[in-house]
Amino acid sequence: MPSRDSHTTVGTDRRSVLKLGATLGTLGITGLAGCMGGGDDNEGSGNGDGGDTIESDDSNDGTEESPDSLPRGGTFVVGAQQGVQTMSPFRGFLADYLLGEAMYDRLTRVNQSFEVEPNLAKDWEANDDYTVWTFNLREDVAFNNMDGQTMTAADVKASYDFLTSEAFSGSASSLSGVNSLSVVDETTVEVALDEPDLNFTKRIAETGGAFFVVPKAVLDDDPAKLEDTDYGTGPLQLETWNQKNDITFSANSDYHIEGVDGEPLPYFDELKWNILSDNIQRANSLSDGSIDAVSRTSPNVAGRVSDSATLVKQTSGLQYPIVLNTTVEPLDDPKVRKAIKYALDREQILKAVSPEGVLGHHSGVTPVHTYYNDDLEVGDTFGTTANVEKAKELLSEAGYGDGLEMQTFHYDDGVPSKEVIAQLFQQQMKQVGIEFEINRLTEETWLSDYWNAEGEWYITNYSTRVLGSTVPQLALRSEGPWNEAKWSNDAFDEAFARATSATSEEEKAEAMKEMQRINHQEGAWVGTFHPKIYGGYKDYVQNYDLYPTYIKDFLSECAVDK
Amino acid sequence: MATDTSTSTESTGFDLPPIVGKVLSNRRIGLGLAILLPIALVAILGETVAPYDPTATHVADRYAGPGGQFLLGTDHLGRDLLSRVILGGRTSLLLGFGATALALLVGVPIGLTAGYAKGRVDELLMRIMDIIMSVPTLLLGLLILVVLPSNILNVVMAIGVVYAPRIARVTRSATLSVSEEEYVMAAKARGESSPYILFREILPNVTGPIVVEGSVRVGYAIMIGTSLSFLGLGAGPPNPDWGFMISTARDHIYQTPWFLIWPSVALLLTVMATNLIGDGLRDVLDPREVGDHS
Repeated sequence: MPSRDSHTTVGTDRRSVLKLGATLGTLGITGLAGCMGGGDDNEGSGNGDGGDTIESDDSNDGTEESPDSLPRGGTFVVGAQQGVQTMSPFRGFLADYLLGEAMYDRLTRVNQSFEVEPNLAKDWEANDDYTVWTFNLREDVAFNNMDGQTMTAADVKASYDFLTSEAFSGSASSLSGVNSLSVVDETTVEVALDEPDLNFTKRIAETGGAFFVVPKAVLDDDPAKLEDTDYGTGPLQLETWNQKNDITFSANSDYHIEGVDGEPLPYFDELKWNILSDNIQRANSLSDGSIDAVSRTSPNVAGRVSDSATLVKQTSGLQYPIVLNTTVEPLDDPKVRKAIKYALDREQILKAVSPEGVLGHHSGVTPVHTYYNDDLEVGDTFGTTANVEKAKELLSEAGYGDGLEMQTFHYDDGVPSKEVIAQLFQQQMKQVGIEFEINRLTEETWLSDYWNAEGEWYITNYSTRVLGSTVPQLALRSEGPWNEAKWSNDAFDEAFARATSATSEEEKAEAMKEMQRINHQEGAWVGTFHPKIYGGYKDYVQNYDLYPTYIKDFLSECAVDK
Repeated sequence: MATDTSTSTESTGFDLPPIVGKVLSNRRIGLGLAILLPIALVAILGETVAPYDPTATHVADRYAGPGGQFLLGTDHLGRDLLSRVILGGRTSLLLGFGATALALLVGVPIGLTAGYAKGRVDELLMRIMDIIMSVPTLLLGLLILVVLPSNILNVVMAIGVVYAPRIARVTRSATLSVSEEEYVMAAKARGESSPYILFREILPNVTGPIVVEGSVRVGYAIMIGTSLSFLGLGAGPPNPDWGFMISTARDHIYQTPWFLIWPSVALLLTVMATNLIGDGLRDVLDPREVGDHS
């Protein structure tokens, strides 16, 4: 069977965001798969998001081109790695986000090319300095399980108020920088920002930390009702939910976004989300035809997948940096941090974990991002293989010439690659006299007790989302709430401020690249690699592809012709 | 139950020289030892006989097949499988024998006390043991390791706790049958303390069934320890451990089957050997002659 290999980049500001488990966003393992093409014929147009494109040099068979027609009907069965613990669109792990997007909508959305398109808002406009955005809402969108009640500005306002209230324990990172949201009339809302944001309409199209719109009546009554009931306006409606085995959705026949044939999405009648946690099991299920597509698989079973299905690959924006907490000895010494970067053999790690992946900087911005600093060589300063002599020299200057015994290094079991990285990292550091034990934690324990805590060093994980600057915003600037390394650098903060307030793409790009250079050379993140992600689908599935973002899904735009 | 005193004493006792002779001449025990002793010897010598550091990675040589530089091949990180199987044996044997020793240490005194004291003490202790035994073995081990950090000592402790009730029950059963013997009565009449009677008068006469039960438990302990490691609750990487090796190898089965085969074969041989020895000891010591096993 054929295989396709994509190297897509994510365009414009694209504040990538950390997906960090439970209350912080999703946390994940590989990339995501979904369906592309289709699109809609809404005429609403956004502004302020110019240049948002996906650059793809796919050497594939062209199925990523938007087709003229697609078959309708049938059941689409996806082999999923995870089930969900909640049907609330506002919290949870990876699968929660993917399914949340199937059931709920935001004001805007991005298409498969990551261009902003209308969704619940049919059009919008911004003031001259991009600090006030006015959205005109559709009038024909009904909530599921609400007796035909249509969505109005009051529901948008109520959703905003809920997500920004103290009662909400999750992350609403896509609303970061929003000062207020007010109702102008029943079909118009106005959003005021703290500072200019060229890409605001793209930010609120994010799936993670998303600004989904839910009924005001449900929020007024009891927000917990969202936990097990679908009150969305999305293309799919929840039918059955078996936490251990499968979830079934039916098509929303009145969905407001249309496919290539002018009829409402989705193309299929039913989606089955079959939970198969084991990689080999998913590959075997695809092989025997009990599932139609597998949204995540590993390179280890790629051969098995390609035996009976089309294997798809995509260069991802996932990253697994090693976080060095700058507030604890000896990691508070920049020489020790640099010694670790010099001692790291990133090529070895890449070969062991994802031979088809790519290396990037120690900067937190991934190569799939448009603002990725191409002027900065991947091996700038520290190289891509171990420089043992230089590392030992720096350690000696730092007073650790006789060796250095470190506290236990942690990683979690939520991302299998982390276990390999941890073992190789331990071996590589041993070469320069840095010794430590490694300890595997459950994902839940890591998130609750170790992540972003005082005095720890560990492997974290981030994914590129539609927007790109959220990692610097949340995790790298001094005041970032997710500044795991507790790193503070005035020059970086100044560059970040310039990037944030830029009103031209050129200015923003320059500042973003400067931020990357500073973090690469001085920062407390030790970059490792960016994996290739893998998926597969049977030949009767159409419009299936992988995307470099992690939690963006286009499943409703897939079609099956069994 | 009524038993002839002299017969009972002889059958449940541990008359060393004849027993040793029977043990050594038992074919099952001989075969078991022939398999287990080399494995144990190699595991004990560990780093001395392992050709490589079992945690040293050689990424350029990952997934190497048997032969050549790496006799049994390499794993997904290019680590020598022979060295990891050898050192993994140390972990498994430590689990098997360590956990059984702990189970004996806990279970035997409880069983002796319950069988000797009888009455409410017996009821209380045995009902507690029943409660522990009512939880499936693997589940109980998992529960313990969810609470405690998963390292080798805690795994030993978890399995020891899981198997202690079984040892206690066998010990109690044997104790019940000898606690009414004349030599025990005589000790009581002499005014000996209860600990003295338990450990100097009764214990030497119930050793047979305890040894048999303990030997059987070694194999089970290795299996449950391996299962816990398979589920990620063992010693943890990069330490070599058969269960975790098998678990990791599953993901790489399409790259190299040897990664899965070698630790599985080592586990199979070890458990088979301990079971053969256990069966042999049961034949030799024949615990059925001890009497009441209710």
